[in-house]
Amino acid sequence: MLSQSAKDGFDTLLMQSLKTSLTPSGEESGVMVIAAEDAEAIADSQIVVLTVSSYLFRAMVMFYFTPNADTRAHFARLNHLELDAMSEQTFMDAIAEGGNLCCGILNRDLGNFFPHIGMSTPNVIDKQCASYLQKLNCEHIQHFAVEMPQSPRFYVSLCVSTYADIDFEVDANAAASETGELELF
Amino acid sequence: MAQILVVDDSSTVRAEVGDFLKKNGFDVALAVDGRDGLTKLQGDAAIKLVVSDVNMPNMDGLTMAEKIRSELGNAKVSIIMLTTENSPLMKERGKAAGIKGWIVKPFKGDAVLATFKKLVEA
Repeated sequence: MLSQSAKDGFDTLLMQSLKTSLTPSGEESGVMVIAAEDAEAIADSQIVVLTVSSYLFRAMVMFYFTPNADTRAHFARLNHLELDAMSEQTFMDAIAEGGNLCCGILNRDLGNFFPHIGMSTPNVIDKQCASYLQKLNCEHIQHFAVEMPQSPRFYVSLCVSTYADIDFEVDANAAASETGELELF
Repeated sequence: MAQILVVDDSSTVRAEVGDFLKKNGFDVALAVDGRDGLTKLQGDAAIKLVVSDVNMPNMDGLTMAEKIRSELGNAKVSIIMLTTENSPLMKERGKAAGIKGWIVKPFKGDAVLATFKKLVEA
């Protein structure tokens, strides 16, 4: 069973990682991540899906997107790539890397509570697959909308399945972990 | 002839890191996984620094680091991991393989530029 505190913890950590991973550097202050009601209303056509798992749970994170001009422009800006030079393969790789980075941060932060934890590689699936989320018997499903200036609104779903009782508490006001610094040995 | 070898299975990361280093005056080579990294390093004696992801297909970055020291017998090249991983166990394995440092993605070039220059000029 997943306690309410643990559900809030998963949500908080994912919201923090979304702000870091989907936003161009220096624009974090203009980002809003809000809870969204229903995945059925999401009009995007494709999903990047990753899982973060331990012996105790599996968290599946789905990033919805539509491969159009606005999305291409956002991911070109996010990754400092030339929009005109971005091939279809580079575009898909950039979206997958966005999901990879987000779940990498989630994986790292959940590692503070669950030492034995691992993460999948990203996979792209069709949006129609989202209709089968309930079949996974998830204890916690939460959808989010990510809004930022000059970019399309992105939607993300979090689904958590558990194999044991889980309870942990995340301090939402705690500073996010440092990234990008070189730790020399 | 390259000074820095960037190893990552993501073309996005290779482009982002590689372009940043090139703009800052480095000669850069790219590899798509650990196996490719070993081949590129073996073929270019000028490489002074390897910047590598950890989780990659075919051969991961830590295995590549171990093979650089053992199979290639290259004790001089500096190795830095650039990864989303932050596990103490992985870092310990990296230290045992003789890696020089660890960066948790996302890559912030300005934060590491001075150190990269020192490692390349050493």
